[in-house]
Amino acid sequence: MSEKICPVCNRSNLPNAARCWYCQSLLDDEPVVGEPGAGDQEDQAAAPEVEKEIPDWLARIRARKAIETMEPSDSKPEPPVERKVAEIKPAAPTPSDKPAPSVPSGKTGSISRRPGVELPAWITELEKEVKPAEEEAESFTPPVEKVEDSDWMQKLSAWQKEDEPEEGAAEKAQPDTTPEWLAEFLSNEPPSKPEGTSITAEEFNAKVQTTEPKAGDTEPLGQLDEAEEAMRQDETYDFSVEAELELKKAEEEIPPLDESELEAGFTPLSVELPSESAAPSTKTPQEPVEEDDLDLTWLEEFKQSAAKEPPPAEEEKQPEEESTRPLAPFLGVQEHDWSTQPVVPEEKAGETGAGEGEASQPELPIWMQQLRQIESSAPAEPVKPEESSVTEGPLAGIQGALQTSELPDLYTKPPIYTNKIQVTERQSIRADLLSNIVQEIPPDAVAAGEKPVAAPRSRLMRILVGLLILAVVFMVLVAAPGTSLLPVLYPPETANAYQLVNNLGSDKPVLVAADFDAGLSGEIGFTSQALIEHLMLRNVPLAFLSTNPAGSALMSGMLTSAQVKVTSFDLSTRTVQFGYLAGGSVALQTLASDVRTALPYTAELMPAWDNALLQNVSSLSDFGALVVLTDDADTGRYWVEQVQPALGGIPLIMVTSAQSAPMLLPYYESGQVNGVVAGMSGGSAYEQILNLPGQSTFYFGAYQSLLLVVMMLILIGGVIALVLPGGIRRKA
Amino acid sequence: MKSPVAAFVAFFIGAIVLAGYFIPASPLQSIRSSILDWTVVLAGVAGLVAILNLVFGVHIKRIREKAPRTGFSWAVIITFFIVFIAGVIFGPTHPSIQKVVTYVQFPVEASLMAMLAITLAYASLRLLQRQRNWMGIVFFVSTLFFLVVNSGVFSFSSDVPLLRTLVSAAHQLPVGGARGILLGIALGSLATGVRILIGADRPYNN
Repeated sequence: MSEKICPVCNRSNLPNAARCWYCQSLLDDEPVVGEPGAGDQEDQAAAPEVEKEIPDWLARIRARKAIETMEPSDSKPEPPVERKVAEIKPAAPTPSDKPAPSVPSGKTGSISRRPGVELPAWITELEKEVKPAEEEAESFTPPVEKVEDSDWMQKLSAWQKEDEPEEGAAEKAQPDTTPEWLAEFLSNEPPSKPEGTSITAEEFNAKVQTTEPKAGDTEPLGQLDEAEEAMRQDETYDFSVEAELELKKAEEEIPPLDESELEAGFTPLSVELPSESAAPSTKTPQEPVEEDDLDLTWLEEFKQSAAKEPPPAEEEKQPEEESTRPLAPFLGVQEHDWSTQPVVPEEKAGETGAGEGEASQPELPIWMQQLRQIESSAPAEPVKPEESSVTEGPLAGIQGALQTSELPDLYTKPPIYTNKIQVTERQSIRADLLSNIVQEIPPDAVAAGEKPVAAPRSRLMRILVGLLILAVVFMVLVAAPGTSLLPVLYPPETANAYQLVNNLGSDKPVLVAADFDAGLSGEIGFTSQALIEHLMLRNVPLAFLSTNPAGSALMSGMLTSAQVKVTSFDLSTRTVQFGYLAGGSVALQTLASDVRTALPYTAELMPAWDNALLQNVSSLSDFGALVVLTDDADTGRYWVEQVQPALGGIPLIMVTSAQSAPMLLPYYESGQVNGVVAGMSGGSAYEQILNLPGQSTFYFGAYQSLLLVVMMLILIGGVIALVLPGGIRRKA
Repeated sequence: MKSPVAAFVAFFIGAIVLAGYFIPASPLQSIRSSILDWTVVLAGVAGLVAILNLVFGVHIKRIREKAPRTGFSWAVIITFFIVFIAGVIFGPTHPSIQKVVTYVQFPVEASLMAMLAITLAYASLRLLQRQRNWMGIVFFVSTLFFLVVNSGVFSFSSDVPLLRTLVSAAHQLPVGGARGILLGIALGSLATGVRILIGADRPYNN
């Protein structure tokens, strides 16, 4: 069975396959295994049919193949040649009057001439014209200007300015010296290539190949066929001479590059050729062309290299990508500094220029310098693995396959962003404080009506405070009873109360209103005891009532206690108890307007006004005085507001607690209240004035001690709260 | 009671009582006195109704519905009926009834006040822990100052004229503040009365 062996992956393919089924390499040139010569016949037969479908470049290759088959078999093989672009020397212009047949562009390399082959007449004339041009070109050395400035742009512009007149002169002398293939190459050359990458002859050929006319181009396919047909007919034609002339023409256009400029930042288009290609490159165009070297084996190598080259479509994408790539600032930080690229070493240059002797550093042409500018300003691109570089495994030879060994280098691990909150120590302390505040008074529990549970530490503190207060009170009462700091100066309201009571007559009863609760009856009892005793001592008849249900009973107990000291006062005959007066302030208004209507009965449910003590009383103004015992400022205010206007000038005396005294003293200041006995201090003062020590004086020492202890507790607590920070206080 | 009749009755009665204050006519005084007497009676009846509601509407209902902790309800009901019957039988001035108030109500309420005093002392100990601002510090300082002034430790100030003046001035400071409060209360009461009279506020119209 016939088959084709792929030259790239060495795998068998069908005999009629144009490309390798595995690696898509061209198989047309490969002989068919099993049926030698059959493939050629088949190809020739199928050529007219397939010729329209195959690309142009392949058609040219086939034409070369046809030429190759016409050559003798004893020709010497020529090693493959790869020429540096920098080594391109200026070549003599091709005479315009004798245009050479169009040579496929890109077919550069050392071209050998076969021995025994006679050159046509127009080629020999051309050689004669080329030799003086070569000598002139060799003797020509462009002026070298040493610029101290490090700005390569300035140097470049200066160099261009000096070079322009010469170019203009050359154009005048030799108009249209640029060959057609080079003009196409200039117009289609990709703008840049990553810095430091080497351009081999194969790449160069591949680039030039892409510039060849395509199907729709102006160059008709018929012209090419005619040229190929002429070449077939004329076996003596050797287009290598013409290619050599093209090379010389290109070398003329490339001025030599000065070393100083290279050191200043100009980096030559570093072209690194493999060592094996360096030797063939020594065959420069200046060497005399030997007829033994005339061989077209380079064409086979060219075909092989063309097969290795990526498809033209992929080649065309690279310039677009590079053109759309954003340019980095020129003086910015660049990962790949082109100015630091090593210059081609002397050894390498000598190696490549061996045999030349007088080889000089080439200068880049304008189009190349423009490329270099873009390269220097373009950001460095990470090195990408070459496509079709897979040499091992089942994907060997397949173009575009990714090498798994280089994948770890291509992809880096993405950064990991944590979602943990980064807080400082101060922020953490504040957050803890807020949490403690929220936990101390849970709003949900309060809203749900749950009873807040006190912390054990708070409960212990309350117990300690209570024990301390009780200890102080009992210690003073037991250790030093009656010891107190009695006021030397008596309050004026208390002194006025004493004066008013002292001026009362025994014929008029005094109305006493007991409007206090049982909880504060202790303080009110201590405060009012001296005044009541004073009234008893004055033997003033007493009629008492209460707007509080318990007040009447409490007042009865106070009278009983006072009667113990004033035994001369008869409670049964000298007192009238009206009992509870319901209605609050409205009842007080009724009392002020009509006392008999408001208080028709006594507490024993007897007619009040039938009592002998109240026979002369028809209104409040008939009483000797009104004494109000109250622990509530509002109640005292009611008495002042509702009853005081109806008193008719009789004195109003208030016996009040220390808590409500500040609210009732303004009425004393305004004259609505004639006397006030406020708190235990007032009671003690009254006792002192009365010169009758009583319970107020006895307990006043404990009261003062208790005030001092509470004051010390508040002071200590406040200092601790002010001095210690919140966090330490919480932890303590 | 959301009817214009209630608003009219309230306005009419209020106007008569107010006119009785300013017009010394005997018919107005008689009407005002009668209305006030009715008010006192109604207030007494309202107290009785409140007591009956507490006993029958709350505690007996709890016992009937077998609510938890009905023992307290039983205690309230039994105590109420014992004192009520004793008061009706012996009268409010009987020594036994007096002892109920003197030996039961007075110690209980006095104990509550003592606990309140200890609680206030503990609260004053933590005065600045909660209110650590400018007003808190002012309250803290004023509390200490008036505790010292009212404790009587400056009793020797009578011999020092300047100190005596200062202590007297310190005693007058609360009076000045209280007078301002009282003026505010009076103006507020007047405004409230006028609003009720003109029908802007209807507290009786529930």
